[in-house]
Amino acid sequence: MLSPAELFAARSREQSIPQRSHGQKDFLPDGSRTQEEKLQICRAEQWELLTEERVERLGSLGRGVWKPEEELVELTLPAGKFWQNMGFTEGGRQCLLPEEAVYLLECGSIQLFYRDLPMSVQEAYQKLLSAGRVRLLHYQVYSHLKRLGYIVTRFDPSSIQLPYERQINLERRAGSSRKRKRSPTRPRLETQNESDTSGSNSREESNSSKPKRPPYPEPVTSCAPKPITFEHDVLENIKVEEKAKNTSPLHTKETDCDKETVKSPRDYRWDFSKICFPNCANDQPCLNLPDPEPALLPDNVVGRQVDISPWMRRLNLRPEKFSRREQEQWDWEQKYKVSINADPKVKKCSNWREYKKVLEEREHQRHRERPAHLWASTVGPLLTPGRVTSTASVLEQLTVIGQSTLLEDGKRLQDSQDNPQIDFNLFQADGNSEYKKSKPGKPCAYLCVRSFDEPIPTLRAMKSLAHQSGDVPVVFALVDCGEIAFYTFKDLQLPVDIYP
Amino acid sequence: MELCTQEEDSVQGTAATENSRIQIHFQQGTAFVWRAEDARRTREEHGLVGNLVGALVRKPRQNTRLGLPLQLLPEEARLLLEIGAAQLVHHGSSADKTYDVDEKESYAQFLHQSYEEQWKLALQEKKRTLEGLSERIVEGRSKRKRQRIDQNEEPMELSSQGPIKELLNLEQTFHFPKEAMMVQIPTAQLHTGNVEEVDIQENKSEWPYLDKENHETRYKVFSDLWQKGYYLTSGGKFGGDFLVYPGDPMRFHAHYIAICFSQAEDIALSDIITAGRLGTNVKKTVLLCSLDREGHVTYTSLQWSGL
Repeated sequence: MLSPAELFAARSREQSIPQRSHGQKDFLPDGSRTQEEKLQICRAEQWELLTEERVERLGSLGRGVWKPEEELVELTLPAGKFWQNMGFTEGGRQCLLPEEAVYLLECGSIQLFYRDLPMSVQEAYQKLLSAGRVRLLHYQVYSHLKRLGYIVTRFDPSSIQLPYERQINLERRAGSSRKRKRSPTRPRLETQNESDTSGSNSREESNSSKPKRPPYPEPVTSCAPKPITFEHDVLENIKVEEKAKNTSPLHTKETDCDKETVKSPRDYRWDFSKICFPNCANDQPCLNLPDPEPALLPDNVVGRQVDISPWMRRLNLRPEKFSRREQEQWDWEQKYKVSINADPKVKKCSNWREYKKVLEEREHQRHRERPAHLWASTVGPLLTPGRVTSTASVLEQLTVIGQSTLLEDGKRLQDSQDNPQIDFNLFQADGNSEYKKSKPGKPCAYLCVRSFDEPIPTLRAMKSLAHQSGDVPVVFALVDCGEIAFYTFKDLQLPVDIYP
Repeated sequence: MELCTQEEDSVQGTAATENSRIQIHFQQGTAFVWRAEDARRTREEHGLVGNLVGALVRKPRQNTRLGLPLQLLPEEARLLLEIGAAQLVHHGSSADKTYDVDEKESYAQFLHQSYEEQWKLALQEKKRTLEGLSERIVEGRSKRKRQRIDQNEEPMELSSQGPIKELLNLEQTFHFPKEAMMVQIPTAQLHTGNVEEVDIQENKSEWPYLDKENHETRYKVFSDLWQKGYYLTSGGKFGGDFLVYPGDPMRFHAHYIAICFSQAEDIALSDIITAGRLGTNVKKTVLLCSLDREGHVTYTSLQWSGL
């Protein structure tokens, strides 16, 4: 223990570390005096640094008490600046995880007490890093990254987004005021179909037999009947059963007793051939929405005939303009893709079951057309006629061993026990990082701590990790006797030089 | 103050008796040296390097220069133990059970005395600075006074001779808050009472390396090269077992990358090529090291040569 005089003197001690600039390293020791002197200087510097003890002003030190049974450090003085990205609150107490406490102790930011006695760094290593999830090996990686300025938190498997959540770009925590990225643009085909149908809508029948998506699968809850009332407005001639008239189809979906009606939609299907849908496209100069059938309206709603032409003028009816790439894509689709709806047989189908039946029949038909000597035996042609739409698809069908990416099959492989586990989340702490303790956001990497003696993770393990992490890279921290090296495995997609 | 010196004496006393041996503390299969003096002796007396893994006291938030503890390779630790230069100690959990109330009291007392002492030191310092500046203070004051007299044109006696008034009753007015007191966060454990020495031959759980297949070869190679006067560090970052330096790594570059093989082991040609190419690229010679039947270490070096 340092004496009070030494402690007091430490207030004005050297703050900077000596730069190791004693010339280039030498090749061989030649026993010369200059070499010996240089070495002595280097060593003296080293020992000066190592013999220095941590001496801090009592007022600038935090104070924590180690609770071994809970494996945490409870702060007994209000936390300092480190609270921004370390520590947690439990039962009204400010607490630190063992690794955070040891790190702060090493930095000279807090004093640690155990049984009312201050702990040395050595004791803290021995007591705090010998139990629980974060052991010595992990702590070495943790402190290394903390010293580099990163924000490091323990990995919590429940914090990870499910692949589906990632797919729909769901932000896990609600109430975020942060600017959200615009969701990826919708698939182009869909929008085209919309414009397609609206364009060709003038012919009544084009819509008539098409299996129009029934309105009820939409899981909207309360004020959902809107689109339906609109349809009620326009339809003049409907064959709807009494039941369907009164209860909107949506409610039938929700109540179990009416499930039957959902199963057999034919019972109350509307005759679309007789229903006139209003077309608001710019090729329709004017349209009158006729007076709705009063019987179909709720009691308190008065329906009236509407001339929508003034509304039309207010609508933005500029034709959609494609970019060059979109135009190319569109042209290509026009050339190679055929809308299933154009098929007269498909048009005749009024529901999915019929449509699937048609498909099945066709499949059978195809098989019948194939010569038996080619197709009936176990060895058959690699390419199936009809499925060949482009060069790329031909090549794809010909590949015997397909390319695999790290993200594939991850789900299937996940249950394995001996897989390496993700240990830490890593966040950048610079100016543009948006890390908040309450809302950490997406980490810049996940860390797996491994010892140098351990084997390289298998592909199976890698895939399982990749499945967990998604688009966040997994970094392996290898600890070799206190030295830490970081490695990542990257997916490499071999380029395919075929268009499209 | 008395208590403090007593404690100091006792610490020094134990240090003196244990001076002959370096203390290696064992934790989860890792060997640490916690005392700066031991770290110095490890390097200067025994030519063993180790690896500093803790935060540097002076600048804890950087990685270029690290501080205590010094982590030893298993080979380094074993060597120190076998030459009798060190003792392996382990902190048993039994230490937790003996809870000393006296210790707590003596710590509180020590803190109190430290505060008193520091108060005195701070007072002295303040006194010194005031004394050093007193001439200028007096000068400045009399100047201001004269100005005031000039303005008011009131004759007044200049009575600013001798020490300034702040200095006179400094001891009464001096304020040294408790927060300003300096405290130490010790690096190494202070109470060495509850350590138990461990024999590595008997405690395999403490020393997991003995059973490892490569450890014996590695150890033999390590100690052989060390006896020849080389300095060795861990060679993981160069794909080998050890890096071999002709002198202290502080001042010299490594010359060899030592890779240990057991003699019965077949080495794939591709491994040899990999090792040779890597060694050439970093301007080091690759040493393939193994033990012959008598237990002597044989070295084979790889050289990249054109035909």
